[in-house]
Amino acid sequence: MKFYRSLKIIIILCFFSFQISAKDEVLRLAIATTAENSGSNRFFLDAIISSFNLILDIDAALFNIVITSLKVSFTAVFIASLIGIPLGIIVALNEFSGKKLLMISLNTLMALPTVVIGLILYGILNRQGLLGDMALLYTPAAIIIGLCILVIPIIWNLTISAVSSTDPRLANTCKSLGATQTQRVFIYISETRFALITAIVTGFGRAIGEVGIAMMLGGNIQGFTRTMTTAIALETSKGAFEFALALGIILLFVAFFINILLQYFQLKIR
Amino acid sequence: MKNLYQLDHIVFNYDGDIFLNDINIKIDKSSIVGIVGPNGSGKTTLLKLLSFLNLPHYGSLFYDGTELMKNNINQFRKSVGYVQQDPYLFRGTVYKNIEIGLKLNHINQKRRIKKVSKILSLLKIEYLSTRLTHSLSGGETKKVAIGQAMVLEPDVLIMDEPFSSLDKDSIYELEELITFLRTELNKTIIFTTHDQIQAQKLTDHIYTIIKGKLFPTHLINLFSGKFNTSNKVFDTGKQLITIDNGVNNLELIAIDPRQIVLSLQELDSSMQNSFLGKITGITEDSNNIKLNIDIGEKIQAIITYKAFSDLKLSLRMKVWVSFKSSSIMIF
Repeated sequence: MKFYRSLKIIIILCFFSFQISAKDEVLRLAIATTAENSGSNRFFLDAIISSFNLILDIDAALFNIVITSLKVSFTAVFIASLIGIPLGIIVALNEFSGKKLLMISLNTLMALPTVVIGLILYGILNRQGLLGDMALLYTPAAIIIGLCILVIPIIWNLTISAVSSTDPRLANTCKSLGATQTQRVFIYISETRFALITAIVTGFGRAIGEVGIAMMLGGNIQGFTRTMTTAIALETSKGAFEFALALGIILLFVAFFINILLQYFQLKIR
Repeated sequence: MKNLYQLDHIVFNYDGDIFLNDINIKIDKSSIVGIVGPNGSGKTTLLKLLSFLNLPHYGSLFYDGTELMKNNINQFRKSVGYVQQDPYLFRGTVYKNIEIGLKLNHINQKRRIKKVSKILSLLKIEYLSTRLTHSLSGGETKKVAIGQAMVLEPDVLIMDEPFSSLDKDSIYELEELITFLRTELNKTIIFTTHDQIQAQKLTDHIYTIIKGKLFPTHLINLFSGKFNTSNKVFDTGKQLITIDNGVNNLELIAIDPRQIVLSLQELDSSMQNSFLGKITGITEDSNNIKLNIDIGEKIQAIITYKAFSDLKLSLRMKVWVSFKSSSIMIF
């Protein structure tokens, strides 16, 4: 009997001791997991904080990249608007053979991958290329040319849609008031200005967010052709996550600011 | 009087549909011309041709003795002011809208101010000058559009349904303006309307256009409706008219007002159409009497003085209206 009683006590003690050790194990695991989690959280949080610090400190390198990005995008969109808007109005207002083919081509060009534009222009602008003598490759001018090719079809196409959807009575009014072809273009710009602003903003959004052209034609040269998108790609691969994140945040802010402007114009026009 | 417009065998078609078919018309200088006709008959297409907004596909159009060609259409356009049925105004103020034509024609600012204020006072719309166009009523929009066309001082003013969507006062003002433009400024005015009585009151000549064909007379008692071939009855929606001449498909009829017989009792004759109506209007018309009678549809009858006095007709009197099916023109 004594034996059974002693065995019972031993089993109970064993059970308790096992429970305690298991508890320890669970506790240890839990602590470790928490520690790991807090580590990864801290990594992302730290990166965000650092990136905001970078933005607030107005880091010279960062500032330069943002300015380059805005400069090439604005210039390209400005040139593309000067070409795309009048062309869009003229195509929309006139009937000619090949108009349908042109529309299909423009729709195709709107979906053109940026690397393809980069590739073709690289072939033309490199030293052995057709325009190699002009030494444009790896300059902001090369990026601007590439972005223009990217944005012109967008603005052209959206202008055609905007003008085609205007009131047909406008055409009669223009004609009867004796407006010339050039004056009609200006009247249509004025009457469809909100839709045209949308076209320009869409073009700008495409220009500032693209990476293929800037990388292939700009070459990502620091302080010269490094744009926000090429810098994000480079800094992330280098491991400078904070810097890349700072650029990402700025890129988002630019998009946000452009949309605020659009909203403002929309209210003002109405 | 010299012809300002001369249209010879004008044809205008679009996508295989004929919109205007063999139009021949002469319009005198300083005259007021009305064009009446149902919706989709080609009224607007004709006005666009007369405004030189489109070129005819066949036939020749002479303006002031010169034939309209592709190379002189822009020059011709300057002689004409065109006001659309539902005018399009540019965004911005009324003043800017009236001024725009002058700007497009490179008139300097000093002259622009003078001309615009002259038009604003002519149309009595000075109070609208600073208003934004999107806040204007239908009638105000129409007046501004007339101002926009008139500021360029065209010789001809062409208006598509100028009286539609106007209130009574505005209609009166516009009628006054049209008369003033012709008598004081020697302008030629061409307009379309649905209202035959108004057209008669204002114009020197009325033309009726039906399915792209122009009739150089005023077709009175024009009704549109559906024809039932089995019982030979034409349903205008308000009245049933018997037509016995073997046609199968017709949408429009016109009853000659001089062929309508009026009587105090229902006639026992071969006339298939006989309706009891009420006299709603009596007017004198060059040795004849013109009567407006309501038989469900408003119908006009022209009778002689003798018949009028024999029947002792007066306003609101009930009268029998009868006509033969041979006095009905079908389209």
